[in-house]
Amino acid sequence: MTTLLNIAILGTIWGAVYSLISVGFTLIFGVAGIINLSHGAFYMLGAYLAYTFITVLKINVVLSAVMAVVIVAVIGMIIDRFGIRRMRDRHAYVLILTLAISFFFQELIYGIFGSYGKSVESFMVGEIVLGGVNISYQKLLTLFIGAILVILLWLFIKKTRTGKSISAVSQNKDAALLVGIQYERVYLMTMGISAGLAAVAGVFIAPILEAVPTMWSFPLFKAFAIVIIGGLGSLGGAIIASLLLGYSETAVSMLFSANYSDMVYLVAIILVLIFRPNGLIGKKVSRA
Amino acid sequence: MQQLNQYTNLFGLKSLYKRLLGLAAFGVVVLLLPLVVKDLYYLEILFLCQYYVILACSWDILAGFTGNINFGHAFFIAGAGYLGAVLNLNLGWQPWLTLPLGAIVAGIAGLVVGTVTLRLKGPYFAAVTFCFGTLLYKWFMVSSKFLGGEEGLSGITSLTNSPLMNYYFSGVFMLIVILFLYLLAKSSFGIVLRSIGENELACEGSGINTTYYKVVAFVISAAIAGMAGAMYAHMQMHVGPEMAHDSLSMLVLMMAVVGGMGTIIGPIIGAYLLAITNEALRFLGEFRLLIYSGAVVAIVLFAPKGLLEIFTQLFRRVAGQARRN
Amino acid sequence: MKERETTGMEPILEIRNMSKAFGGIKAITNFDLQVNQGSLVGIIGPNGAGKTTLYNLVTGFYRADSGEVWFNKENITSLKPYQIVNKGIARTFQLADLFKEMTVMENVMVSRFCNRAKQKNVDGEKPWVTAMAYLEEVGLEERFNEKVKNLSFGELRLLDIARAMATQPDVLLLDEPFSGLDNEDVEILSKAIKDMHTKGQTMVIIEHRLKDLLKLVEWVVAIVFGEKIDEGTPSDIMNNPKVVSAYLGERSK
Repeated sequence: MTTLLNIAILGTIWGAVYSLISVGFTLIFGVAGIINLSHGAFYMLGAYLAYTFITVLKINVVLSAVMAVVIVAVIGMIIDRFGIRRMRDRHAYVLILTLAISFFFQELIYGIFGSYGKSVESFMVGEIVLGGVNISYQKLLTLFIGAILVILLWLFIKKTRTGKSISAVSQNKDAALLVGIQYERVYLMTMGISAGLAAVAGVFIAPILEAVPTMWSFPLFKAFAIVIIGGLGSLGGAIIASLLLGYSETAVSMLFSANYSDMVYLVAIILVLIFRPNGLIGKKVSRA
Repeated sequence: MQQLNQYTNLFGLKSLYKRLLGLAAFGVVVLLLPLVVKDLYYLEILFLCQYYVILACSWDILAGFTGNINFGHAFFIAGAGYLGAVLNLNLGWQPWLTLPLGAIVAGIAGLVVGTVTLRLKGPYFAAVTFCFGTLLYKWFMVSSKFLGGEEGLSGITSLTNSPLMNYYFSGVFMLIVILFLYLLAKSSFGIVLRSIGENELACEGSGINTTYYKVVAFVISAAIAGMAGAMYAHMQMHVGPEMAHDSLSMLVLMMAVVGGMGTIIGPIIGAYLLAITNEALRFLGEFRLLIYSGAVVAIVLFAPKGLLEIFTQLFRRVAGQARRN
Repeated sequence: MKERETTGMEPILEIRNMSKAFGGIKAITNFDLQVNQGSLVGIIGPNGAGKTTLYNLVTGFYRADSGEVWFNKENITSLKPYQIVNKGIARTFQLADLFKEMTVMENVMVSRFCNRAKQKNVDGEKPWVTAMAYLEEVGLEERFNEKVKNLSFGELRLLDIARAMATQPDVLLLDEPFSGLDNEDVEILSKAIKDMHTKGQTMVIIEHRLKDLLKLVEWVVAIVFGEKIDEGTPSDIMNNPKVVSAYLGERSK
């Protein structure tokens, strides 16, 4: 019973983290049609900035978190404006560029911080016990923030004018232009949001996992697996798939071994690609 | 018809004359170089250059022609390398067996991965290949005695009897690969591959089964890389997980992109450049990757056609100036 | 709607009750069309009426929500684009964006490498020789070694047709071949189309320039908002008030 509760709770928490990471990734594809391979780097930068501000510079936690997220969002927008924007029609180059940027950041961080894991103190110390399961406040906080942000994002896109313009551009950018929506600006904004959300995940995970210079690759792959399962471009799909992945990984980790949980997303990618390339939900992906 | 002759010369072997001549000249230089360069250290670097050329050119077969970027080339290199190592250490198989086998197994792996992923859009293929590469690395790192874990496997039979023969082996291998690429580019297969890279939809609209062509290109790419990996394993007499590391995949990509994707000479330039700078900048250690990734970013942003294009433009400008003076 | 005089033969290409919607937008609704062998059919309709969507559905680039496409007595509805080309339907694209960095000759050669063309090839004929023949048909033989990105708009159109013809299709679908061309180029293109028709090539043409289209075709189908509103001979169609009003606001010469 405890195991089941464990899976349910931890799975939801990880699902929330993955949602923060994958929602931005799928948003960029749905809106701008590109796969941003530097997305994992945003997560990593969020974590390292959190470390720098909180642990090294001893700045207030809330301020640090906000600064880290804003900085990463700006970096994301710079990459979009000066990098990706120039090669929107040549997708192969976008892939190369964004992956090279990830490596660049990896090496930069390695040079500045070294390869040893950096840890950050929890924002809130302590834990509660729920039905025999220990859950740290940090994890609960992460779940809380993750859920709020995802809901806020959903509201933003559905209800606000700017949000609706994002929706419009993702459906048909030329039609959107006809009604006065500048799609380049929308891409920029989407990138900022996407990067920011990934950074939030990084900031909140920093106290839970160690920060290492190679930490950008697994969120990238998992985000990729999630959007494949949930369907590229589908927000709802990404959230559902994130939760699914959270639960599956936790279950595998509890029932078998933690080592295998890292393979769940890979098996998922392969299975979905072979049998249902369009994802379980979401936009068509294989044909024109 | 006069025109018939005109364009017959554009296709078929005759059109390759200039390039084959260039290749022959290059070949002569490669073969005669050891007469000038005696130092073993430099010979090893040159071996590396040639090895990198094979890797970069094999990568470019798929990426340069069809535009499908493979982020996990190391998967085939290391996979075949380890396979060769295991067969050599446990069954005593010699290079003349392990190299072809490495090619075949890598080719089959390419077939399996390619068939599943190449029928979908580019990004899927790119990400899946990256996953495979990383997965293999992780597996090697945690693997048992059988695969040597972090240390890898040592004591593999040497490729040939001397560093000089190693150099010649890889040199000839490299020249054959370049020749193969030239022939491929001009063949009907090459033209179709290029058209896929240019405009896959129009290509389908012309009745071409693009998936089939992409998979074949990928299989060839993987097979050559596999054979090269096995060759490297014997030359180093050691294999380690770093052979599967994503930095090697990135390096290969970098050589082709910086040199000039899709042109055969581009990857050659990129490979030589990288191998030499890699040695020259050895004192920088890990920072080399920082420079390389920065270089890729710069090239993709400012000169996407690579160094070859920059050189060609420069050459034309200089030639233009000279003509004017 | 007037009944078309048929020769009693079954149509070579038939679209049966086809529908396709994108989200809430009904692009094509309950569409029927029969094309007889050797005929030259025109498809007209205001912008956004769904004409190109129709082509995309027939050629496999889009999947229909319902309905079928029959060709040469075969149901080709769910085939992939390249398979449909190999069955014998070829099309041109509205924005004839071909293989820009490759030469004119190479562009046509790609078509010669499809399975259908390879099967129909006379033994021993080199691909560039047969490709050249198609370039001659559209008058582009002089530019054979030119890179496509250097071609004029009109030449691009001709090349697209040559490329499509090189797959030796039984039915050729042209998508707005005259758009953006000056009158001289339209003349050249019209003549090329007429010649192909005389040689027995079955063709369907989507076109906006009504005057030029109506001079060529023998049967016209009018589409508005994804639905067929009329079909008949050119004079029938232009006398139909519904069709004329659909073009209000557009110059119908």
